[in-house]
Formats: sequence, structure tokens, C-alpha cells
Amino acid sequence: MEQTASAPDGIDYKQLVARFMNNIRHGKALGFQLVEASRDGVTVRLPYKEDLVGNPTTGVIHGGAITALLDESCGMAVAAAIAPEMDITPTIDLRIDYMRPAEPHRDIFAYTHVYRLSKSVAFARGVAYQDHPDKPIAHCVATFIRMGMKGGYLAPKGAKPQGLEEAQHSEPNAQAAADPQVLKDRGVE
Amino acid sequence: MSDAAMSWEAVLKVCHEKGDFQPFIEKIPYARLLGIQVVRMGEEILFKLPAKESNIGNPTLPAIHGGVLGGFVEHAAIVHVMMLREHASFPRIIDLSIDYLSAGHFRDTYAECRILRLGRRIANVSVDAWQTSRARPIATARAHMLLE
Repeated sequence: MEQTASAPDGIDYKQLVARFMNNIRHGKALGFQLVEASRDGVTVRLPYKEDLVGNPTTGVIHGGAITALLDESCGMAVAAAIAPEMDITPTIDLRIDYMRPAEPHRDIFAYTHVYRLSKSVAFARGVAYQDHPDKPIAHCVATFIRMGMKGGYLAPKGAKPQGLEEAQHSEPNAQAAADPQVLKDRGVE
Repeated sequence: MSDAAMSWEAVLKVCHEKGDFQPFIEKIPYARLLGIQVVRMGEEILFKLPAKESNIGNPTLPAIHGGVLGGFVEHAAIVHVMMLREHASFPRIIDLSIDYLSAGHFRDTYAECRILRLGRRIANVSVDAWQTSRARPIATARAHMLLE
């Protein structure tokens, strides 16, 4: 595989985002592939697959798969925007406009970026396209809350579900635990 | 003729006659991938998303992928509208807006649709999704669909 060059700030965004995506099981089930990642945005490819079809007559991919693609891509744009810090950043809300039907038997790409990063909230937007980002099949805006948990998903110890891949990490702060009280406050038992 | 050999239009017709739309959902590859089911309780129609490992996003909690919840409520809204219209065409989704209220855990999720308006050209649908009880929704969404 081609070695990706680090950005001038010394952060290898593509490697960082790829590591996050590698832990998201549903993204792997749909076949998401990271194309590009930087602080300016993230591009993810969704290869066409028969089992993503929503209309068996036309063979067009279900809007739900595009929703998942844009949701995950926005989440990854947030991860890149807050790097090298790591955090848990749940989606507050997501709005998608479906602007034209996707063409069947062709891959779909998502390009998303964070257009405002405040201390507490990340505002992301992006497009899904097949030919060019200027000719989108869908447009989205999403907001994410920054929980302020250093270490992000790579914590806490002992909370990893069985059967899921171990998070690959080497950061010194990766062992920092998710605060159980904060999880409880969000209705997480 | 077996369901597998029938066109989805033919399956939809039988579903309308029997009032059971599970065979129609089985005809949609993406709905099969997520594992979506339709549950009839008296006159109520609920949609069920059984806990499934491939639907996990955050591996730590673990929590259902936000995109899965989005796809689930979107598909529920589409099927709900199709159930109300005896017209064998897919409503075309115009937009979807979803609020995530709390993490969707690795357990079964339910969704109920409310038709806010079923017009000649546009359907306005609201969807609530929950796990433990209706009173504690994990997500709420609105969708607009173009009817043909």
C-alpha cells in the first residue's frame, strides 16, 4: 500500500482516520473505504454492492446506505478536525437532502468537512456524489457534541465488547477512561 | 409461486391483501442487510431492528451506528407510506432530518411512524425510535417523500 505523507503539522490524518474507521463494524459491513483525509475534509468511497439496493427494479442503492456513508464521513471529518486530540463526539443531529437519484452499479463518494469547531460543538457538512462534488446526489449537515473525553473510543479498560477487534493504538493518553458518570447522564447504563 | 420468484410488485400486492408486509421488506436487499422487520400489533404498525453485530458503530459501548438508525427510520417511513397507498411505486425520499437523543445500545430497536400529511405529491412523515420504552426515544426524525 502506498505510504501516505504526513501533513505539515506532523499528523498523519489518513492513518488516524483509517484507524478509527477500522473499528466501526457497520462501515466495514457496507464496505466503506477511506480515500483522503486531512484537516480540510475527508473523502470516503462506498463501492456498489447488490445487498445495498433499495429498489430492486432500478438497482439504485438505498438512501439509508448514503445516510450511513455521510454520517460516518462527517464523524471522521470531526476526528480529523480535533486531531491530535481524541474524544467521543456523538451526533446531535443529521439532515440529508437527496438531490438526485444515484446511478446504479457505480460507486458513491462522500466528501465532508468541519466548517466550524467550537469548544463544545463540531459543525460538519458535506456531499455524496458519483461524478464530481459539484454534482451531488445528496447534501448533509450534521452537528456533533464534544464530550471532552481524552482517549475517545479507545477507552475505557474492560468495557470492550466481546468479539470486536481490539483498538489499535499507541497514544500515551489512550488508556484514559470514558467517565462513567457522563455516560450515565446520557442515558447509557 | 414462491416469494423468491415473484416480482416485488406482485409481493406488494399480496402484502396489501394479507396485511403483512414482511415479505415485501424481504425483497429489499438493504432492509435484509440491516435485518428490518415489520410488526403488527392490533391496528398499530411497528418496525423492529433486531440487535445485530454488523449494525454496530462505536465498538466501546457498543452502540448502533448512527447511519443504521438513519437508514432504519428512513426505510420504516418509506414502507409505512407504501402500506397506506395501494400504489406499487417507491416514494422518493426528498430529505431526512434526524435527532439523536441518546446512544442506541446493542439491543433491539423499535420505530413507529406518524403520517403528518399524505398529500397528492408529498408525504410528511415523523418517526420515533426507542429501545426500552416509547417514553424514552433514542432518536426522532422527519422525512419528506415525493409520491408518484
